[in-house]
Amino acid sequence: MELAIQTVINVILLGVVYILMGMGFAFILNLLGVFNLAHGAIFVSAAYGCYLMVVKLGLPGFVAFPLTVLVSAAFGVLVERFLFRPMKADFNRVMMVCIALSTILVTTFNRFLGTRALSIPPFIPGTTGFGSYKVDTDRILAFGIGIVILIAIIVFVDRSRWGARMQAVTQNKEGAALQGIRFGQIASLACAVGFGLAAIGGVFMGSLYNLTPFIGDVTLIKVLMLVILAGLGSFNGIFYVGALLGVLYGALPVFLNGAVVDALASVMVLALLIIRPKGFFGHE
Amino acid sequence: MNDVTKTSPAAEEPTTAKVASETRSRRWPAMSVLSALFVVLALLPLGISGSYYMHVLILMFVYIVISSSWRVVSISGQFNIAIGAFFGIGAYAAAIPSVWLHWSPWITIPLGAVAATILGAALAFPFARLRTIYYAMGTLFLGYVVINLITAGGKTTGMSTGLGGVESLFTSRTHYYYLTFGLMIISMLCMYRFEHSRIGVRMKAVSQSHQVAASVGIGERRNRILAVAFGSFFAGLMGAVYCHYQGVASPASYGLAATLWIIMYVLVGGINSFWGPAIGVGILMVIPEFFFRDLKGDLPYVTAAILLIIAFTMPEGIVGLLKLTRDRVFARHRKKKEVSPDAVGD
Repeated sequence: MELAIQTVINVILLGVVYILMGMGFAFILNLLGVFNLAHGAIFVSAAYGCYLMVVKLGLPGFVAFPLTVLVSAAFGVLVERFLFRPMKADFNRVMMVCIALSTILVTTFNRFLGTRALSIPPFIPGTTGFGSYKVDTDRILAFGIGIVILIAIIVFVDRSRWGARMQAVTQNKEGAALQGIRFGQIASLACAVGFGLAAIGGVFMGSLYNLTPFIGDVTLIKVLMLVILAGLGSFNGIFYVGALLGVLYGALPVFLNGAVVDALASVMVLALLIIRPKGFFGHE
Repeated sequence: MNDVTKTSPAAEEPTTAKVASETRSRRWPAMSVLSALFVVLALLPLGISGSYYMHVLILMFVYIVISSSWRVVSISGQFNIAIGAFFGIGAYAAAIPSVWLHWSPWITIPLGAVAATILGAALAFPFARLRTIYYAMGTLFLGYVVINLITAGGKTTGMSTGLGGVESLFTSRTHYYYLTFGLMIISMLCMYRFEHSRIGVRMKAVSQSHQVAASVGIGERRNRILAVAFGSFFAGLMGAVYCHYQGVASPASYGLAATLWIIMYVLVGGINSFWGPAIGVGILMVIPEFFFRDLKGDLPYVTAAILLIIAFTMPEGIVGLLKLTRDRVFARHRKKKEVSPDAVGD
């Protein structure tokens, strides 16, 4: 029974993290046309940044977490302005810039923190639960924060003026420009939101699982899997497919060992991709 | 080649003979550099005995072939992010019989190449439906799946630590040097002929517009699968040779990171030119390894800096810059055609 509760919570948490990461990636891809291969590196950097703030500077988790997200968002604005914008969405050059960026970030953390597995200390230590069923308080907290952020993002995209502008740019860049929407501003905003969401995902994963410089690549692949399956240009799809991936990667390890899970899940996704190349919710 | 020079609309269609003679006359600097390099590389083992430099050069030959094979796939308009997987299929197809069945390397190396070709064609088939970024993302994922399957293979593939104890072909590094050097030259000749043949032109047509190509009877799917099969043959061949040279086949050498670096070699050199991959490998592999070796752990910063410089200043890669220089030099001798440096700049 305890295993079942743990599994359900794992599934939901993984799902939330994948959805957040996938949303961030999709924002950048849809609005800027940038295939952001540095997304995994941003994710790892944010996790390490939060780790450094908590462990080295001794900040409490409730300060370090928002600070990491804000710094990442600001970093996103800088990256958009000085790395993505001069490339004019040229696929090849953007790819070079992204790989240079992720190489620099990952090498820096490798050099100064080593490759051993670290973990962000829990924000609230201990467990909660009723009777004999106990769950880490931190996981419940992460779950709550994740849900709140997801709802905030939906409200932001669907109801706010800036969200409407972003949707307009996604639909038609020139048309949006004619209505007085500045592409530069929207691109900066998209990058800030994208990097901020990656940072949230990074802190979650860093505090709930182990943190090594290599989790970036693995997460990037999962994000791509999510975006491919959901279909490019679809925000709704990301929610459903994120939940699906959460189930695959949260529940399958209970029955099988890690390498087999990866192989099995990826073969399943590949099969789906061959049947429906545009993804479940994709449209051109 | 002609996108660098802007011709007036009236002079848009020069006769074939004129173009041929012009390209021939402009080709001699490249040809002389190439033959000089050939002689130097062929005689080099007599001069250097330092096995480390020899090792870097062997690696360089291997990666020149692999990145060129990636570019051959890309001329048909396919941005294939699974080349590392085909490299790995070649390596494992050679390593598994070598380790478990003790087959001779002279059998396993061709076997690796053939296995990569067959699997490449088979896997290219479903992906021939996808185009542009869908294709790129799909193949990226395909590479991941292949590596995952290899890792999940249990004892046969050695899991994530890799399969060690692959029988070595020669004892001396010099022999490997000449083997990889010879294979590189043969592969490059094959790929050059392929690209400049009728098939190569068809592939370029498919890449530019699959609808127009289809209207003149050039099948898109057939040509794209052929390009992947042809490219993976050379990737698999080099994968097999490389794993016999290293004595180990490990999944980390064929994953996403490896694939992305292969693509980086091509982009740094210039994706629009046949010699781009070779130049890119030379720049990105030899410069850090030969000149910045003391930095050790900081080495990736040098590579990242090279990538940023190229991305910001040379949109067409190193070859783009070389072409621009050549055209400026030759522009003095020509009167009719104007050379516009803006055509390439950003």
